[in-house]
Amino acid sequence: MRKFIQKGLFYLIGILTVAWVLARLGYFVIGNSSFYKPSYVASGLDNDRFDMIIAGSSRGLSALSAGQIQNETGKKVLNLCMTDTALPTHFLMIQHFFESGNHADVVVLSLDLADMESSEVKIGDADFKFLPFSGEKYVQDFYEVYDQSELGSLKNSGLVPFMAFSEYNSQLIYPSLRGLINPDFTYLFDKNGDYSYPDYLARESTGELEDIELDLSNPILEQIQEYVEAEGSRLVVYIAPYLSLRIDPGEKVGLNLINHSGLLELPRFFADEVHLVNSGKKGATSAFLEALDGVLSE
Amino acid sequence: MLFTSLEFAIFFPIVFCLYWLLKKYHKAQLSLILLSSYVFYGWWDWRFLSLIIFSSVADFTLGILLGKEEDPKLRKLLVGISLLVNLGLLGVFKYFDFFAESFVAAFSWFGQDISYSTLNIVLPVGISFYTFQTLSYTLDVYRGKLKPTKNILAFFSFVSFFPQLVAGPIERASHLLGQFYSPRKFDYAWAVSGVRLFIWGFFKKMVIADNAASLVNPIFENYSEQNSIVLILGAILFAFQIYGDFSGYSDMAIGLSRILGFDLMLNFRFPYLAKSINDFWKRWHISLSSWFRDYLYIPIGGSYGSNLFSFRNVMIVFLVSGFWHGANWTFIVWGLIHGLMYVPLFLKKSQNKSRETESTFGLAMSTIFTFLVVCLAWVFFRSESVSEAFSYLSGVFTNSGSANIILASNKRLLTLCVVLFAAVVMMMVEFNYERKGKNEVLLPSYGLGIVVLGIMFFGAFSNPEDFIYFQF
Repeated sequence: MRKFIQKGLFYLIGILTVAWVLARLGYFVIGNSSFYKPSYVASGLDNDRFDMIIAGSSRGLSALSAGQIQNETGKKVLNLCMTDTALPTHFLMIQHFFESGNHADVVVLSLDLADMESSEVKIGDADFKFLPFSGEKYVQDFYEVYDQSELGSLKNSGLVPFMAFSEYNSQLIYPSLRGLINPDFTYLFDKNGDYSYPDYLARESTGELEDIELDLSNPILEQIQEYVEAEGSRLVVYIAPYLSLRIDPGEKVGLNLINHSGLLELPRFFADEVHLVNSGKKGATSAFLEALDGVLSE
Repeated sequence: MLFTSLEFAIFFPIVFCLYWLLKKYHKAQLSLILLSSYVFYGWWDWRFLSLIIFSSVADFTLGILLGKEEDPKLRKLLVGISLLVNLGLLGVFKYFDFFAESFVAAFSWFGQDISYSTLNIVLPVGISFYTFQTLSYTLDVYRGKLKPTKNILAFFSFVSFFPQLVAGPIERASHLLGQFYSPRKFDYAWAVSGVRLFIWGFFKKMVIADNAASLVNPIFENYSEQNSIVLILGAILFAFQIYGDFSGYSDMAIGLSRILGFDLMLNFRFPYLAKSINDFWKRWHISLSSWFRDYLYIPIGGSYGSNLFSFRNVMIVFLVSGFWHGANWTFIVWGLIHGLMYVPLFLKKSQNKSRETESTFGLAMSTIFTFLVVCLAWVFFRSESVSEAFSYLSGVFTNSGSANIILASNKRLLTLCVVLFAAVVMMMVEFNYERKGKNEVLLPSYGLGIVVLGIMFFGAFSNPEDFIYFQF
């Protein structure tokens, strides 16, 4: 009996040690590659000063082209938007950008309907992409608040790094292997951080147009504004086009706002209700640029 | 409580420590088994504990009465009551709605619309397993193969023994009950073999079955949009899912029992290496197939008679076996397909052809053919209805959809690679053990280390699935 327990513990500690080392190696490789955007921001950028960055979800990714803005204005622009993210993660991404030693004069925050008044306190599907940086205080603080899962694989990733591998396995193992072979590979984004939905995905019909009144009262918005201003930058809040939705955000003092929720009405510009195809993205980006000068000069 | 859950990871070490601390106090040890079994089962829904207790009380009492009674008529009555109680529980909780709906559907077919109401009863987890286990006890006592027990603690523990309570193996009283009578001594080698088996089962469940489920579910739910290759892949993946899931559970159950000093019967012996459907059923869910052999097939005549008579008996067993799995026509068709696959066997038997004369290539072809037939039957088993299963199979030939469900998602592509790699590894390991004449996979320490790392890094912990056989 004693031998059974002793040997069991011996093997258990041995396995946990090997798993710990492998997981740490995995994080090291991912963190030093460009596979996911957080890693790209930390180690894949050619320079650390930008005129503008765009943070947001897949809606920001499908509506604004950093490459197009760069070509049309000559400014350096980076799109930091990630799919499957909400406002808390956008804030984390903005923090990560600045804390990694980068700077941007203007921070554009693409805001979604779900985050206008409040945000859910839960971990997002893409939040694991910050795992290689879980040693940083801002990432750890984020995981502490939002990782409400039973095991807490993200918030405990410092002590037991392999637990997140158990939960996100292929989403961490593949980047680890890919990062070993080709550290410069970027997953579903180009050097400007852009990704587009092809035009062949365009819709053919639209639903009935709906008007919604909402206050931009999410307290995280204020936190982001304070943070961005402390970094010596300006925040612009942007509401990307919806197919059959017009949002009236009312009066929100102190926020630079570009509301293009009802900008495009033709379904051929949309892949679905909330995402634009490439042709829609071009139009939305041009309209954004026109509006931006006005907002920044106010 | 799932073997793969955090709760169980806390529950079992506590039970293990207390259990072996009480090794000198046999009654206290038995009481601990009973209590922990009830906690384990009650974790789902404590109200259903009453069914286990009711079934245990009924069969314990009937067993004692059968032991005292010598009048054949009264003995028949007593065993009839046991059948009524156990099959009655199954009938009410598992089949009532099915019969009500089928009855109404039959009348509607003749143009008669009648109103009805279903009970919408929640199916108690593992009811088909423990009712069959207790039933085997009274049947064996009735046949005089077993002496009735007077040890109520041992009998109740036998009925509710938590490692195998909810998904088998369906133990016989003649094999398991006696193990509760005497104190157990800790056997190091036996416990280590239990750990090895448990880890192998865990691997099959978490890496193969649950990862496969994340692919199988969307394929079967959207089968009309898939092309032939995806549909074929869906059927093969389900074959590995259900095998990893069910045999994984059995391995874990047997492994846990060994750690507690018990010996459970073998439930799976590398079934996808079977060379015929007959061979398959000697390897798949052995505890159920042998149950049906002993308590149904042989009593209705078995193979003592003409080929036609034997074939009729085989068909009866498979139809009942299909129905045992669930109250749905899909399971009955699944049983029918397996039954029909015995036709070539009976024809061969009448021509006195022997398998031993077949070449290696011929045996390999037989193995592949058997696997494909089993996969075909699994399509019915997995589908929501028989018509859906036929539509799924016709989609294989029409090839009208696309493979986007897999190809458009990198995550699914990666999961597919993991499942296929793990399944190939499993089959190679099983082939190797079969060649050595072994019945179970007991990996050496370094192999276990790799398997544990495989579980930690490739296990589907983010989308764990319930064990499929819990619903039966």
